[in-house]
Amino acid sequence: MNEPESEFGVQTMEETQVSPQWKLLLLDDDDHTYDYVVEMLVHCCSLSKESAFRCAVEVDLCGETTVFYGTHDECKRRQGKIHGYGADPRLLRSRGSMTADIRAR
Amino acid sequence: MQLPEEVVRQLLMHFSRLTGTRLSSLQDLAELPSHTLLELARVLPDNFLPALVGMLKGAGPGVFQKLLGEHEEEYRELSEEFFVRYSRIVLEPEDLEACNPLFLYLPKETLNDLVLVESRQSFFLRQEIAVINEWMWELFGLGPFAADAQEEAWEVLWSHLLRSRT
Repeated sequence: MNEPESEFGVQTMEETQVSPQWKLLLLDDDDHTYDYVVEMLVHCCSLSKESAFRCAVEVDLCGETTVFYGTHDECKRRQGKIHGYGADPRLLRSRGSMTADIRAR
Repeated sequence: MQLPEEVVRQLLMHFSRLTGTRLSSLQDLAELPSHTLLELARVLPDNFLPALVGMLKGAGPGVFQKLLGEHEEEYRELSEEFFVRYSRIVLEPEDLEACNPLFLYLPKETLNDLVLVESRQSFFLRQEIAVINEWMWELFGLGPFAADAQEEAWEVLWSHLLRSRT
């Protein structure tokens, strides 16, 4: 079943039923492009391209953006995907993934 | 985008004329109401948008909410227009998607840097096998690899690069 999408993140069935207490924050750095962030969030967090682009703008402007709400386990799983996505091939200086933190809501 | 101080000063003067509000600092710009900020973005040429966003960088989460139109229905169209125009400026053109990404981002001249190549492993493994086959054949005469054999193709590539250095 497709997960319904909330404002930027994906709302899981758990969120609608038990209001999960965790969120996944993507942190800004200088080693990844907008294209990378969009592509990575579509792949790792099932965001639409439009939502992913807005997250990219938010992380650039504010230093962080919430990319997922859910249970701790679900946040952990998506964090693993983000940390395993690898470097941005568009930038020679990029040598690793972006960082995402799990925080209590 | 980090702009030189003089450029920021001139842009603030220009934005002051456009908005009818005296903007003497980046803080003044960030404090514009959502509607004014989005109207300013609307009248600017597309290639000014990265500068505008760069000038708003670090002003706090409130400024992003302003670009979203503070979630007000009446500003929704302005906000959507901003994000569509900005995405066209800062994202790769869509016709690039038709190109083989390995030729684009892992050209032959980068392959001497094994640290760089190793850092591209995840990127390589995400590619469809047809993309990998085209690139491996063109650059090294290796392959073709079977469907879902990305891992095997990576091992072959890595061994080939290591051998060619010795």
